[in-house]
Amino acid sequence: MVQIKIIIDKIYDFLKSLTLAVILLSLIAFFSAVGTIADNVKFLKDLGLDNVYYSKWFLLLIVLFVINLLLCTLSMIPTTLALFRPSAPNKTYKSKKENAKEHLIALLKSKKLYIQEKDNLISAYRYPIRKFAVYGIHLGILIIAFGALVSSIWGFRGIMEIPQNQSSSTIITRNNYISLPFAIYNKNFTVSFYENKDIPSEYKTTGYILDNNQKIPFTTTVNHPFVYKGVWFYQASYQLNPMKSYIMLNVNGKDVKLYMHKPITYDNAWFYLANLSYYKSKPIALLYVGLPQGSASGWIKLGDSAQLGSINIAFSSAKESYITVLSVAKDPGSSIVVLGFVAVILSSTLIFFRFRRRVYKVEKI
Amino acid sequence: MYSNVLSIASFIYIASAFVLILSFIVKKKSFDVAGKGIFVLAFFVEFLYFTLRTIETYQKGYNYLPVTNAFESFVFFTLCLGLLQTIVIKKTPSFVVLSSSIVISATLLALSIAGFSEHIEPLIPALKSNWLVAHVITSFLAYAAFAMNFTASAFVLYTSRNYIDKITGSVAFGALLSLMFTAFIVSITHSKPFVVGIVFWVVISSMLFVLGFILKPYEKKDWIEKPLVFGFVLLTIGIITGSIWAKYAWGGYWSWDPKETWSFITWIVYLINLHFIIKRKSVKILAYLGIIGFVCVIITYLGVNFILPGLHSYGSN
Repeated sequence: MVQIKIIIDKIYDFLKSLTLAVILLSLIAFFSAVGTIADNVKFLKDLGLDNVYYSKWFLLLIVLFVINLLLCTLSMIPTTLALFRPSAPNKTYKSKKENAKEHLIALLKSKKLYIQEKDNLISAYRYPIRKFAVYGIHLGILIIAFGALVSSIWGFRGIMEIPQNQSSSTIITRNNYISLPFAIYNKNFTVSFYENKDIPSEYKTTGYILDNNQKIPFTTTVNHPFVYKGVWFYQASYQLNPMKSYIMLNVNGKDVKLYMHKPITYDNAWFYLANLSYYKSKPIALLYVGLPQGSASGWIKLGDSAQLGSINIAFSSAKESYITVLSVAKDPGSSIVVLGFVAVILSSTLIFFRFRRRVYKVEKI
Repeated sequence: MYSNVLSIASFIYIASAFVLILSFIVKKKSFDVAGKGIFVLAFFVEFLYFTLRTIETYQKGYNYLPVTNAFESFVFFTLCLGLLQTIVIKKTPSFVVLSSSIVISATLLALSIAGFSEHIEPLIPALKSNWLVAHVITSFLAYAAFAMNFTASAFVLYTSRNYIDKITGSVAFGALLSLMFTAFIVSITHSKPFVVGIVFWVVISSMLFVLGFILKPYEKKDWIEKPLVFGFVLLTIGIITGSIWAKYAWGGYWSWDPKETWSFITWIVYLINLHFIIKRKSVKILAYLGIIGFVCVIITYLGVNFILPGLHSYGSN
């Protein structure tokens, strides 16, 4: 029995030790680092290390670390408490006065020190709260871990692809599909550019949330998500919808509608629209034209025209239809995580205060 | 437009480095004070540049702090280091100031030949957020503090009598100095930076190794510990603010994007270092961890933007 107790004690000592923390953190750091390059290294990818962050044993490392952190923090409490009990004086206060102790206390209090007394010992502390910084930070990390756990059990994260003028309620997650009890209708997606520049200024989706005959309008741009019934929607990306995007070409005075990736023949010539994009905030089209005497290809800007053999083509208008890509997340642990963040930030700023402890022994002369 | 001001600032930084090196040789207090004074002057000139650029950005109607592309972020890194160093300059031993001015000069010189665009461009949608300022300032102040921790760590190893320590210290300082000289030579001769860099690195490191024997071992922990604690707190806040921003931009606090992951690795290295400080481990262990930590900072800051693609890749153009 005694031996078992010794073994248990040893295991407990190891579980709460800084050594274990360093080992676990080093392993977590090492595999995280491997994970960032595994995508480009074949044998690492074959081992599945490109998705190491979602593997069971990576989770196990984190769980072990959380246990280690919890035990380590708990094991520190007696030491901290002992610090706030006056013992082992490092100063002597000698006085002839009758009420020497009260006098010293008044003196220390006037210096805004925190005081504890016991028998003839008085301990004075500057910034006693500094000693609780470590608990705040560790607790904050544990709270964040708990929030992440809550989110991973009851939450989800994925993307939604909705073509213009269509609705969807399907979310594609990392390894699954989720169906929402309501649908999102994409009325319009737009890309705006800065004036005369190729730099986009805004990606915006407007539409409706369709929930039981209710039609709730929404607008979302990058960095400005909207929330409905606890589900967050973010403007994440977009694609050109080739089925719905077309340009109007004026060929020898007649208008021709040309859809993407759908070649057409007109006046002994064929036309093919390979791509549609923007240049200096104006639409440009990658056009292939085939004539009996040969073929030509190139980018053409809106409003430009070109003479190819006997035909004259002008790019008169463009109609892009986009598929908006929304990130969708349900994150029930979110507020718990924020609480942890606040705890960590507030407690870590305490580190800058300098704690001081002095224990006075009051002696009468 | 104001890039002349930046060039002037970098030359003043270099001047401060030279004066401080002289003060090492002649061992006169007046050189020490002069070197520090020149450093502070350089910082104020650089701050003037930053202010002018900020004003210009706002005048163009873009309304953001110029910290958003590769060029601006490098300048901002040196500015943060200059600021931290200026704040503590009275209490700093001159070798720390010297290291800071070498780090800043090397970065600015390398930047001048790297060919990043200096144009002021409007922000892409992903960067339009109020969290940008908090995230970038805290992260870069942390990087600056870690740079100070790195140079102090390298100095401890460099002045050690142990050969392996000395080689590590020489190679670390050699990297900084070779960056500076390479930038200088490449800008004049237009030769291949990589080859010149490696040659300089080897030559300078070996020279430093030999020279290092004249210095007495330096084993104080002060300049390893203080910047580390400060940097660690700021990195923590930087990661948290970034995480909150990510929540609003990408849909989750954490996505294991390469930059996030490497900042996490950096955080772990400094976290271990911090606990080793509390446990009063030997100064050499702290110094080695300081070197490893700063390598992680460089990977987080540069490697991820330029090599590993991810959500943070907009910093690379």
